Amino acid sequence: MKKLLAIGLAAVTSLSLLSFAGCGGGGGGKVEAGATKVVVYLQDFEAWSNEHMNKMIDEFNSNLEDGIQLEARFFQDEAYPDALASARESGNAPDIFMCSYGNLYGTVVSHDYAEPLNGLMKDEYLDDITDTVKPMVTFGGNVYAYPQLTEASALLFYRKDIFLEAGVTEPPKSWADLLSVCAKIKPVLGKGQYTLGLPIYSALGWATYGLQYNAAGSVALNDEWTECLVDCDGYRALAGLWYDLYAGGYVPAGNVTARGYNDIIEGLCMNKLAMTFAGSWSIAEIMNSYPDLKDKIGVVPLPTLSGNSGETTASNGGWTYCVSSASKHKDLAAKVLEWFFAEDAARTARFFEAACYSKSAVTKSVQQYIAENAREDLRDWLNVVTEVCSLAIPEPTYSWEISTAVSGMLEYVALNSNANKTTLIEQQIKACVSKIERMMEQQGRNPAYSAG
Amino acid sequence: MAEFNPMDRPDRRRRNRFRYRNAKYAYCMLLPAFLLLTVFVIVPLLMAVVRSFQEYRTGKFVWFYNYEYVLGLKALFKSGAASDFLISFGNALLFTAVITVSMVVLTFLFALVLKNMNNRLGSVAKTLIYVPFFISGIIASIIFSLLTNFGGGLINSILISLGADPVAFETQGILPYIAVIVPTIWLGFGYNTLVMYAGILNIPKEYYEAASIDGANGWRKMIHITIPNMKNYFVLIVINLVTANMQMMEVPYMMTGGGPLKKTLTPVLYLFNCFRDANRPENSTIAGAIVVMLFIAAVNAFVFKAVRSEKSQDL
Repeated sequence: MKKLLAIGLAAVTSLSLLSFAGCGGGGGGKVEAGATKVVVYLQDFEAWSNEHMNKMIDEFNSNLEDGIQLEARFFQDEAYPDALASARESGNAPDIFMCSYGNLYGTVVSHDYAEPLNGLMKDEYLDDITDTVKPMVTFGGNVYAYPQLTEASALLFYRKDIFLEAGVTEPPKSWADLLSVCAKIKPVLGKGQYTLGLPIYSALGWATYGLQYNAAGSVALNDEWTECLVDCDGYRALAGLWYDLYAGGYVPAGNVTARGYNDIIEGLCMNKLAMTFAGSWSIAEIMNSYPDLKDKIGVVPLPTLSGNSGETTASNGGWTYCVSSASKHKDLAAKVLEWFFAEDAARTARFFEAACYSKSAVTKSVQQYIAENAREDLRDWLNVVTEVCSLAIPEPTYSWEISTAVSGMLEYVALNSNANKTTLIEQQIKACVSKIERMMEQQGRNPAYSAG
Repeated sequence: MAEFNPMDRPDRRRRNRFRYRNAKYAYCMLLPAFLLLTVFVIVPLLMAVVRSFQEYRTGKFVWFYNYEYVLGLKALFKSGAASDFLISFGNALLFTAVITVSMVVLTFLFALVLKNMNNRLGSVAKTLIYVPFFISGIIASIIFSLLTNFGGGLINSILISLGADPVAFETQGILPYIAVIVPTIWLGFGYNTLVMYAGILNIPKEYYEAASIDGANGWRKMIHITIPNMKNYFVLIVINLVTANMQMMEVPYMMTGGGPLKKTLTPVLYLFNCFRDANRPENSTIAGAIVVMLFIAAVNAFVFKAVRSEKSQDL
């Protein structure tokens, strides 16, 4: 009886530990005899994304002659960095792990956690990475991660039916157009409906990098982090745009959806917003949750200050895969990366098809494959995402407090849009610069810049 | 006549031996608690203090760099610009003052009402107000978000159906403060009311009877009997509230995210954000946590000094 109880307790404890650790597992089916186990740590994403990844892992493991048995462990986003840190500290670092572009230098390369892929992967595969993305994974001349995708931080989504009702014939191209379109749309909306959804709170810090660059030709600091560039006409124009949009009563005072900017597209789909800034991932949300609305929604790049097309309006976020420097099977890990992302464009492109092209491919071969084989009904949106991502800037890696200094300036201007515009903006530019200069003293020069 | 000395008794040696043995047993029984306290409190605290003076990766001593990073005193003296961490202390003090005063007054008044309720109604009321005590700050915030949410909260749905504009509790005027203060009071209201209620029941009835004979009315009884006799309970509740509210995190994190413009940012929420930002020095979070601990200890010492508790006369 005691033995049974002990076995039962052990089973319950093991199950609990597994569930706490958030471990899942791909790689069911037959196990390859004598194969070397390669462990990959993955972050949990949307259901379709996890499902796709599990299918790919099963397909990889169905090859019983490559000498590799891939074992995937999924972790929720909050638990992922802790799981990775614990594994490294206990000497059990996974062979492959994911990392976002923004964290690649600060949390991986500067700590020597990743092995350079030069020499591990074929040169032709490294050369296949697009010119926009390659600098985002290259430090000191070495490629430290193989990119999987990029996502544009902001596009303009709009309701064609509301535009028609308001007599607006085309989406806005310049910031001046945006204000005039807002003025036309506002009168046709009812209570609880708003003209334009914008990022607020912390999203305002990162979703506006592209617009900052568009207006000022730079983000808040220069590349070396030695100069604050906020005190310029571009940032004044951006603050002015925020002032005018809030003063006109076009923007809701709070979040119209539960998860803020991340799911702001729901506000558009639920008819609470006529237009909204939203990340490119929103395309997948529309296609998965509101497919009937596809024809009522238009997607274009954000308006620019000048009104010209072909300018930067977004930043590129997204994910990469690294081979652990602590891995005992680096060559096999590199083979896994080649199989998933490099050697067969059609295979890699399946991910982008599953994503309804809401993410942009990062290798020339996959981009070309998608251009030739994309679904016709999504081709317009695909072209917008590809264009915006190709012009987008990488997310800056300076201290987050510098980004929040800029977002704080925009937020202050928005919340005080009854004050005198010029005086308010001048005060806030000055306060923002003062705060950034304090942070610059603390963070020093850009270590990644020094590295190359 | 010689004074009685218990040590002169014939069984003196036997009694001493027992006394010694009891002390040994007492120390043995204290040992696990002392070991646990050492392993889980004292040693980590000392390690944290040492780490707060070090650089995280290399272990190199950087002395007060981490403290300066979070406090930003140089910039404060140079340009008068307070760091976010210092701003968060100001916010926490404001929340602590408002919540503590409101809670003491409300729970005291409600305990008086409870005392005068009949048994059945009183039991139901006590149970109902105690329920929120079992709910975590995160869950409470979710419940309040369902009421206050801008996009689909109950309050805004009612406002829209009445033809009014919805209000944004996260951004407009003093509403962000209310969005943080109300759930926090709701969470602690039941527990503190029951403490107050226990205190009121503990006051001897004879005091009130004597006061009635002397012709005191209800107000004078409250001022001269109830409140003075409740002093130790007030101290207990104030200390608890000050400590808890200076460490407030879940409710502002969930309700306002510390905004707008950091108006509801609290020190612990700041440290949480700091910990999650890979670009900030890791050990600055530890330095900040030690500053919070010292600040709370200082505030508590001040409260003890200002509102001196009285020892029970039975001791």
